[in-house]
Amino acid sequence: MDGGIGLPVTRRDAPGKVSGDAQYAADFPHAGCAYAALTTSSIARGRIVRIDTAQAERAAGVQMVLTHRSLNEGLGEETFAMKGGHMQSSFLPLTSDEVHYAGQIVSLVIADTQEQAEAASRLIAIDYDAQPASASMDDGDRVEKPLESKSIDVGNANAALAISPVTIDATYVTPAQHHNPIELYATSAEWREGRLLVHVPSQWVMGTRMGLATIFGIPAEDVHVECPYVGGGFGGKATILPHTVLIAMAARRLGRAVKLVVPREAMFTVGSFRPATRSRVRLAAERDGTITAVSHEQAGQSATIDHVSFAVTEVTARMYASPNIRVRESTVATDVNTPGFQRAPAEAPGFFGFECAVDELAVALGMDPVALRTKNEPARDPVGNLAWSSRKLTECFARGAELFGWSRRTPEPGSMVAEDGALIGYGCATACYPSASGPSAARIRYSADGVCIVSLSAHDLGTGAYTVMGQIAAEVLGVPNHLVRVQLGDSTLPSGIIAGGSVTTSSSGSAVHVTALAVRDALLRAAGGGELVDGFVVSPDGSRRPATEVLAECTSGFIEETGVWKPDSISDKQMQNGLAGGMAFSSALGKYATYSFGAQFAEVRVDPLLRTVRVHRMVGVFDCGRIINPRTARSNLAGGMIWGASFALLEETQIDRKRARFANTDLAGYHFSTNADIGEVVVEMLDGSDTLANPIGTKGVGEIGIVGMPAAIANAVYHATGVRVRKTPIQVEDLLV
Amino acid sequence: MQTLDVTLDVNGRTHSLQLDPRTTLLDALREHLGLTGTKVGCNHGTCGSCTVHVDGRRQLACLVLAASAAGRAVRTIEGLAAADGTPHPMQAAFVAHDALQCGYCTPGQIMSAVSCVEEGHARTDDEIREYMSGNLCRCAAYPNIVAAIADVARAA
Ligand code: FES
Ligand code: FES
Repeated sequence: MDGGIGLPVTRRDAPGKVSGDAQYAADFPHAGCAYAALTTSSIARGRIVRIDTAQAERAAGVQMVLTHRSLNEGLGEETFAMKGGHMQSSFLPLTSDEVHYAGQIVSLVIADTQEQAEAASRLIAIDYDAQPASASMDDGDRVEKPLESKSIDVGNANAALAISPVTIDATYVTPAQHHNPIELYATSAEWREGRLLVHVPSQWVMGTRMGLATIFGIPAEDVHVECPYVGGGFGGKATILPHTVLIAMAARRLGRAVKLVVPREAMFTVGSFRPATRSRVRLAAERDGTITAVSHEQAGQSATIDHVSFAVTEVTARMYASPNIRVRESTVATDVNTPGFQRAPAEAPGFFGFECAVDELAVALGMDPVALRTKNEPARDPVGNLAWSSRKLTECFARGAELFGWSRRTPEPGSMVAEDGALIGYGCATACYPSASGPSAARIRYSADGVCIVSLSAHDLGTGAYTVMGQIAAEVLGVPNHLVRVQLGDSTLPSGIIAGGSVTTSSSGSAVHVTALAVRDALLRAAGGGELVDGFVVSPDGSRRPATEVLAECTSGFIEETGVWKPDSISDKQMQNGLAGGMAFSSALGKYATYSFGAQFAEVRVDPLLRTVRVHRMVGVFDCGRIINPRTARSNLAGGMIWGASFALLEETQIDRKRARFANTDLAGYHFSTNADIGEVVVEMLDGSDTLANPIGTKGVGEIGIVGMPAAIANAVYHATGVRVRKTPIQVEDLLV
Repeated sequence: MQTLDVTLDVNGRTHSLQLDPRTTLLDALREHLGLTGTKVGCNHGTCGSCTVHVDGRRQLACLVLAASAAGRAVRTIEGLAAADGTPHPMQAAFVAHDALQCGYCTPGQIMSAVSCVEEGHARTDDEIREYMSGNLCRCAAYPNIVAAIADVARAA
């Protein structure tokens, strides 16, 4: 069998992607389509007192100008995804004259061509009544609001910190960041006889369908969200962005398809972003390296219009075997667009500070950082005393150290120098990501021609879902790879799960698995019993015949089953809500504590004079349960690690604090790794199915790759230079000391 | 609306278009000719996803006015495969090396990669990295992109 679980099957969607045939949201043709252009607010807070659209309305080709004054449709109640809705924010632009953040959509011009729409949008004159605003959590008037429900106390960390011989107390900060997928946000909408067709890059077509149906007061079946390919999501395309609603509304009014491609600059404010964080980490240990206290207090940037929190400390609290643990979370409201999920939303920033602090503790103890981590490996979840469903972090570190050549490291900072004089630094860090799952459905049709079609409205963001879903079916049914077809990203298919929280394979993959089992059982019933072995039905008497022969005897010429799967902790009611397009997740903390783990290593080279930092190589070894496809999983993990390198050294959405707005809103100003920034990347995945997690034994892959890398690189920079930088991005000026 | 008659030669075929003079080559390809294989990631020359060949050289289609491409040979990702549909070796190498994830930057990467080899800028991995750095990949398929290009360069 060439297409089953564990094989490095070539990406099923690759041929269409290299030929240019794969159609992304903005690639679908719509006959007679009109084009939209946005205008966004130049102030961060206040009111629009005058908006003059007369000139724009008279401009060539203009069909409509939407502003808060012309938008008067009654809309159904929808809200922010983190409040139980499907929207990126609870605030819908153009529904009032209020301005809540810089870059808020204040008008939408629709014209016959893109050029006309853009030209006309520049003719709109707006006067504002501007109020003082603050976009940075560091501004003096901002207050931390504690989130008491997120506090964890085990033992007495403060007391242990007071009496332990070795302690660390440091504060680390990470900036706002933006997803910046290469595919721009884009929406095309068209109404046909009261039904809405939307092409939008989406990590959640079922949620988008449900949300739009609610807003427009039509049955969910009358909304069709089609999005077979997503040009990078990273969390930014998980919820309905406000402009999608506005474009659908404009299309309905005009009775004509309307298309908007959001300019790169506007991407920074019409969607979400990763909010800034500040972490105070205190650790205490005995002289032999036994950790006696872990304390992590994180404050995260939030928005005045929506309270948002990404609590990482419930994860960091579980990293080391400490008898005393204390964590706190708080938020700081700022006048910005609503922050949202961005690849490992809580973990990537939170582990930066936490895992740097562990390195600082190792230095204070004069102990090897790998040895310190291994020594404090907890046998059970140190907070709730749950058993781990699987936790092979020590093996990850052992294998990672071997692959990396960690034993060559001499501990003294600056003690390793390359032939060209560059300072060499070795650093490492732990990565961890909660492994949740949720309900999903799938449909499989297995036909007499041998073709097996797997259909569900899950998503492939480049993660490998097209390939992996087919492998899970092929494993059960023994179908050769070239006869497997997979359909995803379409709301008319059986309900897949949101592509978020690294849940797709565990959730939708489990649904494909149980559905394939149902197809197999139906096939064997049709054959009058026996077993299915490599695509052959083997009867109790030992005779074999191809499954396709049995299928040919079925009246329809195929067997088709639709199946659903849900984690045990999800109720039937939650499942129904989830399948309809609601959010329904199990927690990583159920009967067991279920997390993916990783050990990450970095070698940096620092120019001794210029202090420029280059990531020479990275190594990551991961325990993500069973790996369905090592080829796509490796690419996903490597991509995450490179995100980590960008996080450590490049990424920052700079804030113009005076004007309370994002300052570097294009790809010339907002930096992430280019090809030349990245050296060798080595990824290994430990073998091992975690059958306590779900029937296919998988844990999450998509996000853990980034989690430990920023700290591993910062720790390597310390090892190279002796300078401890407690912020990202780490820049030349931070090392000129 | 003031329009220009523009004749574009794209992938060996001639197209007569009436275009707004402000139309970029990128929008002409995508919105007027339906050649959506060329992608749009920024519209101002910073991402590389719109890379096409103009008279055999890699160019950012978002920074070229369609009118100024008249009379020049434009090649897009759709024109890279052989006439019988056999993928170009670079397309095959990208598939073989898993040099893509979401695939959105991929047409631009491939057009750039073909030029990178033709220009003689693929002699070492470091050189490939340098000469491919105008093509951003947010999924960060970079190591596999380098491997794919090195493979094609070796065979060339
Ligand atoms: S779209 Fe042309 S370089 Fe980005
Ligand atoms: S493959 Fe997604 S941006 Fe390159």
